[in-house]
Amino acid sequence: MAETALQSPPNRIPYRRLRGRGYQGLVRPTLSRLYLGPDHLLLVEIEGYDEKYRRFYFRDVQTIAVRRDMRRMGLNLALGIIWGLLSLALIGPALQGWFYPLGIASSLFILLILVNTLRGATCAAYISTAAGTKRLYALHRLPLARRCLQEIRPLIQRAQEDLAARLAPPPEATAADSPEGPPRPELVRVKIDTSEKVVAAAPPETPRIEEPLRHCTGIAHTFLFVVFLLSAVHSLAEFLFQGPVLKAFSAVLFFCILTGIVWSLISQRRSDLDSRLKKIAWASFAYFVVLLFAAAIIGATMAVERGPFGIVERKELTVHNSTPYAVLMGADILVSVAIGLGGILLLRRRRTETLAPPAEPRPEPRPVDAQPPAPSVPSVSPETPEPPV
Amino acid sequence: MALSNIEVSCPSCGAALPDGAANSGNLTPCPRCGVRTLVEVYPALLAPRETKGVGELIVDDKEASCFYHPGKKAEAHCSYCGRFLCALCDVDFDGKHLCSACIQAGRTKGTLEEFRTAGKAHWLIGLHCAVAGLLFPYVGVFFVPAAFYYAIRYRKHPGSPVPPERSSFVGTMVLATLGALAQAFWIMGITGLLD
Repeated sequence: MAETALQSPPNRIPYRRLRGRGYQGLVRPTLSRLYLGPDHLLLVEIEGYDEKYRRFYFRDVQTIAVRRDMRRMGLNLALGIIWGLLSLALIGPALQGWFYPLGIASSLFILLILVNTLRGATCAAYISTAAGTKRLYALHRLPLARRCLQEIRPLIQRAQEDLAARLAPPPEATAADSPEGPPRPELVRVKIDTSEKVVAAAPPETPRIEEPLRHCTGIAHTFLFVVFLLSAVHSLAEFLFQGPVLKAFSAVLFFCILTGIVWSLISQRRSDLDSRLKKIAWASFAYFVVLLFAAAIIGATMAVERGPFGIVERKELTVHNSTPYAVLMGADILVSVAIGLGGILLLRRRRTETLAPPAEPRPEPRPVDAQPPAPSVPSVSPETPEPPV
Repeated sequence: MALSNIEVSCPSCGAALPDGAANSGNLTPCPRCGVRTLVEVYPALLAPRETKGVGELIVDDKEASCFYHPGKKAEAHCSYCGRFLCALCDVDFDGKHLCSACIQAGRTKGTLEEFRTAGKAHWLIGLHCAVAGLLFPYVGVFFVPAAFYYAIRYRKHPGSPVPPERSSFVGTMVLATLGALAQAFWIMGITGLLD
């Protein structure tokens, strides 16, 4: 009978696939998917043609943590750079015959940026049991993770109902009888370990380890703000004059601003830099993205106006002589000056505060009726003979 | 001990998140690094760890003994193979009592679905064969039949705890059919039938 039980075909567990799939690794990508079983969550990881299964029983789940990350912004930035380069190539007169392929490629990148933005913020989700913590790569978008959590939360709560009842605090009658009043509930500290190694459940008295903040010198920010000031001057010059030197300088400035933004955002991460400076760096990034969009729209308008084999001279295009273009240029100059000047002033103030010597402690005011302080105990001079013992 | 009285640390920097961050249902920004985190804590976190006994020794000859430890008293029998088990050998799994041999067999042979930890993605093999058959018609004689075989053979019995997706089956069949047509045209072309 026992052998029959073992030889019988495996009992099929009904699974329902949850939305979302994620990839992990670049060299040999592993596809992750989540399935919902009657009493557990099944994580299927496909590497090559091999599948690995990991089950998280609802009664064992201790924590689920979802941490928002910056991958969406990073991807948008990467796509935006390619798109910006394509748009620059579209505006430039060198690639006249490539108008349609470049236009299609540029639109494709806009579409990708749009899809990436609309899919929601990216995140990293972790599930912890007593056996350890595992990252759920399938839940890589925040809306997806929220939907999945909404689905599995009641199942976990139902599976742990009896446990919750056992852990419930004692009735209040006992607490009221005690002379000190109701006892204060014990604070439990939970450290969410995202290292994905097999760990035991963290004991309540685990000490918290806090990473110290890095010191940021502000060189990257100085570079960024100076480049923004240069950009303002360049925009003004470009508005008034035309020429190949200015065009070449605009390309150099584009890469300098990009480098400055990436450099400053990386250097300010977990650093002791002033929060206002951090905000200005983020604002410059947002402004750069807006500028890219505006450049693409202007480029597209110009391309439509001049046609595939049309005029090349910029002065002949009506878009450059229109009022909206002038307003846009004016706004660009103002914003660039505001970012550059504001940032440099803040940096200067920070430097002054850092270099200033620490203020001496102010002596405490003495009360009026107080006696003058008693003379301190005179130090024993070497000449004073010591009394004989 | 209440779940509301839990202080959660930031998964990014380890600093303590503000009070009420656990089970708030919202993303809470870390006061230190600013990373926004949503944390859900369940009662299993606070449950004490259960310790198992090592099994009692037999004092009377009439008592049943463990299959693996003849000197110890049997306390349960395996739900699958029926062997007597002592407290040490008994694995409590979802209300069933199992022995280590059955768990091992379930893992390696796939006899117990809930213990399987590895399998083959046959649907992916079929899909890749179909794509290869379509892209390289001169070797399609191998890939196209293989694609049909994997799609049909493993549709009902996927060899995996999870059922293959309908879209992957349809996609494989469509690509394999296109691959077969491409191969037919290629053969007709090289034999001169198209002329």
